[in-house]
Amino acid sequence: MNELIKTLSSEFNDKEYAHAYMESHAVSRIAAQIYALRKQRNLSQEQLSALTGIPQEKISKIESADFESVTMKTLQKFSRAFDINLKISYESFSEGIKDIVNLTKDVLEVKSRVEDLQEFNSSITKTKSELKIIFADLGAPIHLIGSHPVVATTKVFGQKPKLEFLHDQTIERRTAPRVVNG
Amino acid sequence: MPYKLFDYLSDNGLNEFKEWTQGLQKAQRAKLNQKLDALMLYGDVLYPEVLTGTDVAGIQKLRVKGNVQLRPMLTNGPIRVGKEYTLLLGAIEVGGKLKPSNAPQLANNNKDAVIENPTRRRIDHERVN
Repeated sequence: MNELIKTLSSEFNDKEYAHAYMESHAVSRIAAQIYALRKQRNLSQEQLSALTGIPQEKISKIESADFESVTMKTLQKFSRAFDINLKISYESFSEGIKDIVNLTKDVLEVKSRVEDLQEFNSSITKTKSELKIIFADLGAPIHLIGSHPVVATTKVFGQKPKLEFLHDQTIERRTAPRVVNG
Repeated sequence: MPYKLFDYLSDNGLNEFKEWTQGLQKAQRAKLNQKLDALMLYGDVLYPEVLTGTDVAGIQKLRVKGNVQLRPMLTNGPIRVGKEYTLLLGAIEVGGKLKPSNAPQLANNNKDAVIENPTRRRIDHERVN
């Protein structure tokens, strides 16, 4: 694996080569992910065709990486059918190399919106209950803005307390709440 | 690496696959290397449709898109099936037809030669450059 990483980072000194390689990887990756997402949902190509409105033959070509270009509209149709978010972004070549060697079925599979949000909401609730234990004795009550837990972190006389959204990383970072003049 | 790649050697010890790749343009070589790296890393698990069968059992073609459609012939194994691939012959596809037209048969002959003498008729894959 390390050997391949070194080889690619050396070969990618050539701009034309680097772009041709990564463009091919992008096509292969899309093909592999659409195949993985379809299998994850136990869909046949015909069923996916019915859900997306994309002809089955075209789905077969896309899954075979047998295409040079695919439109944003087509990708959005897949994203709606799989009920997942479509993210398109640029990245450095080193990130591209990491993606090549670290690709797994788990990386390609994505939970659908309903299942994902259920788990996401339960993790937020869990975070809030954990925070109650951490902050309860120190007079820093937990509030909710929408479904997001927040805590008053800087309470200065004459000023409104500053509210911070809390995430798991916040809990790890903080050993004690920063309550000023509280 | 999960899969090991080999190149077929002719009777006089020539790496004909390597020689075939020397005639390719830089972008084609890059795309071919990408497909071969994917095959080496993941076999046909993540990219199940990258390899397609031919009219000769046990001979598959790798699909590489481009101005020239590269269709190198290869086989799973043939010594340790499921753990290695051997590149047997360089070929292209024009208008849906293979060049050479009997590429799968020629590849199968090369496969037989490898099975007969695996230590002399193949070597570790030499990267396309």
